[in-house]
Amino acid sequence: MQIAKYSNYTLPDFLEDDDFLRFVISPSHNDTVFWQQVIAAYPQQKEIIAEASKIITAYRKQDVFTNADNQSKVWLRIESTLQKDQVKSKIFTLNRFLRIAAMLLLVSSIGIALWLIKGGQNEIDTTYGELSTVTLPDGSTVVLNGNSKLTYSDNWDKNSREVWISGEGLFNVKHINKDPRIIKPSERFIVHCPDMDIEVLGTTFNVRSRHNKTNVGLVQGKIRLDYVDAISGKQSLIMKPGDYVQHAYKKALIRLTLPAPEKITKWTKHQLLFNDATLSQISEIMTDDYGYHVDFSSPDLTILKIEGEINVPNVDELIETISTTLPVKISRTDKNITITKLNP
Amino acid sequence: MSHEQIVHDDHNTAIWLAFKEGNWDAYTQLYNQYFKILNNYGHKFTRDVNVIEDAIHDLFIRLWTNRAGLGNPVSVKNYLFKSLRSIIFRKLQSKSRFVDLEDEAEHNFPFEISFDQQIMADEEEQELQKKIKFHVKALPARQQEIIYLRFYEGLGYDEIADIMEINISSAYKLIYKAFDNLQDVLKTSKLAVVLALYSCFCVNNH
Repeated sequence: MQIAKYSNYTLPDFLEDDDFLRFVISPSHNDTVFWQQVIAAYPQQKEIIAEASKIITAYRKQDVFTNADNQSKVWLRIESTLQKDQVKSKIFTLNRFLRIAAMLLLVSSIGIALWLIKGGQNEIDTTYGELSTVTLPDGSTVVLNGNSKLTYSDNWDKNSREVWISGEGLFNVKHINKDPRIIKPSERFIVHCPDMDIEVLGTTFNVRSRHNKTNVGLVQGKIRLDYVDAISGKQSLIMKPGDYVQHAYKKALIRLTLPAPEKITKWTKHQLLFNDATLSQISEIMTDDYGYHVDFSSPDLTILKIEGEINVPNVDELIETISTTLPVKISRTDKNITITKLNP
Repeated sequence: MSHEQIVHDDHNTAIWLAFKEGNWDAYTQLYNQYFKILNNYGHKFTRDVNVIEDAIHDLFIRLWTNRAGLGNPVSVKNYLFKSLRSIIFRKLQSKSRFVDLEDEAEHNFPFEISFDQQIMADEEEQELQKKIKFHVKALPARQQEIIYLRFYEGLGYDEIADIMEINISSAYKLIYKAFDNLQDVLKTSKLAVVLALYSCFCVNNH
């Protein structure tokens, strides 16, 4: 950088200069030193330099719009769109041989599916550890976790959109209601669990329904839960984004607010995410979703808790985390896990 | 005349390359790194948050779907800015009912910054900001945009030309026009004479 050229720079000249701009926006140590030298060499320029600097600085103190609140929501949309497309593109990139094999498989599974269809019912089952994305007749999608089942009728023309779930699913429901004052039956979307019904208009939410207990986390939109309360009988509850509800048939409903609702959907990315979880809760996930059999050497081990957040990509790392955090020894053969107390 | 980058922002080559190879975590990192500043830039073209979010969604879908065929931009941020800008324009265009009858293929979409949330401690700075705001808002949209890309984002003229899809000499002309229109701001009592001389100099040279 040349000091001499700045001797008779005008205000617009400074504004136009790359080096001056960098000095005002994010000066390095060299920049600071350099411009001190410029001012020392040409004191008559000091005021113009100050003025130019003030103008740029004042301009830069403007409002910033980050939309940080919606960062997760938009990300979930992106993930959901890409999962849909991933399924689509998998079908189209098969080579000829595989294409034929796929057609045969399709034909035979249509045969089996037809056999399974009783009055037009579709049933999707996942095995342990398997994730599956289901596209429903209206375009809504459900990502099913391992060991889960989703049933729905083919014909959604006149009736309301209904599905039955056991297990866990992340729902992305298409909003088709035109007039909020009048909700037609076909615009309703109902998820049936053994112990409750969830009605939505269009939204993103996570349902975990196992052992006659259902947990629902709402990420985006609005849903209504219809359930049976221990004392007051049939009840309804409206959930808003961030709400998380735990329910068991005829038991009291527990309602929480999650600071980061999208975390409950991490399983769709094959991530195991826990927050302040007990060994009993963790082992339940390993059993229900992944098909492991977990044995505890003594029942008081089940209430041991791991404080804070665990975020791991697979069960092996989960086991590793548990054994390094808690005073336990974990041995494993295939899908059998035994947890014993570590002697001090 | 201008350097490649005035303010060196990202050294994101590693993340960009990993993402192109299909690394989902790298892709997530890109999103989290640029989400806020993309919103900030998008907000200058429209206050409709849905349009901004849709555009960001479309941008990232496009990125992932076409990742194998993407090049290696010198600045990932500029590349994202340029892409977001054209996606937003397309969305605004389909929303507006007016057909552009101008000869030049210039867009007529607004570009607006705001100072509403700012509380200046210094009274002098407050006055200056008021003056800046008043005169900048009166500029044509493209001049407002080039001022923003130059003085807020700190971009070089070649980067600005790339993002705004104009050639470099047009970029220079555009900023001179903006300075011209901003004379009242650039004036201080002592400099009025110097500025008048400068304008004459400009006129003689174009």
